[in-house]
Amino acid sequence: MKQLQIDEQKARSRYKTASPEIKEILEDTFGKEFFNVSVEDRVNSLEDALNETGRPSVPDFDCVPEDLRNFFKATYKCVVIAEALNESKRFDLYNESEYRHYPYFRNNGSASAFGLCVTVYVFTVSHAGSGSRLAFFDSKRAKIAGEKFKNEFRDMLSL
Amino acid sequence: MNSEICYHFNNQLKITNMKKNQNLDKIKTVEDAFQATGRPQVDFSNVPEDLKEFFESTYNAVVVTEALNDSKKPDWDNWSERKWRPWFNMSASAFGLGDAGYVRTCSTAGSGSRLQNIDEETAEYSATQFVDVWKGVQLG
Repeated sequence: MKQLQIDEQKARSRYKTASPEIKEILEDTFGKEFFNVSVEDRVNSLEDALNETGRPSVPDFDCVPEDLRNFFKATYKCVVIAEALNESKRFDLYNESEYRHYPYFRNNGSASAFGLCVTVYVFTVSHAGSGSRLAFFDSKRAKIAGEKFKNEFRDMLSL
Repeated sequence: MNSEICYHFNNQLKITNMKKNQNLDKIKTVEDAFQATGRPQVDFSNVPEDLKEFFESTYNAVVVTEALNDSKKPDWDNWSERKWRPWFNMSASAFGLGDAGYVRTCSTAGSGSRLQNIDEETAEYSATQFVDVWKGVQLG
């Protein structure tokens, strides 16, 4: 007899497009509530984001010079966080009708004053570094990223 | 909510023969940037395959920015220091520089000190001379 094993991340992604019969099996296995938890409620830490996306843990980036390693580690974390909150959907950067939302941070000259100040969106322009990997599909997700993950974003911006 | 975003969108064409930043005459290719900074070429084989292009492009952009900034890294916590970055028109047929803007007290995701320039002229040059590098960062 063969057995099918499925982890939580795969179950959640398959559930969206599953037939009613498969949905029932998944709900019996994981519980109906499991599939009703919104992404903003289930992604509260970097570990949650890694689980959500199935991405491996942060590489050590020993391929880059030592003084750049923390910057690349922080960038990887933010990419995974954005991917998790966007539920693994990628942007079409050339699609003018698709707005890309970003958290904006206030640094105010000190680490202690750092924090989210506003979220903004763009559609036909993009500035250096603000690629599709670091944008959010809506203001709500950008705000969650800016508040829950401000330390990761601060590292990426300042290191 | 009070935001102190200070974009400077200058629509006037600037014609200048003398570049303030002498590096703009020296750094014309990614290889020039590697040579000027002494940074090594790297292989991002330790990141997931679909993220390789993004990280390679980001690394190249960091090296180019460092070379053009004469290895000066903008002080992200220094309010009085303007940090310039290019803005791009996102069009499949005409990806390229839209303008250069600066910020002081705010910064958005991805626009950290490693990717910002010390002046407007440098930001504009970076975007036009290294458009493929930036395209990789935006789309990779």
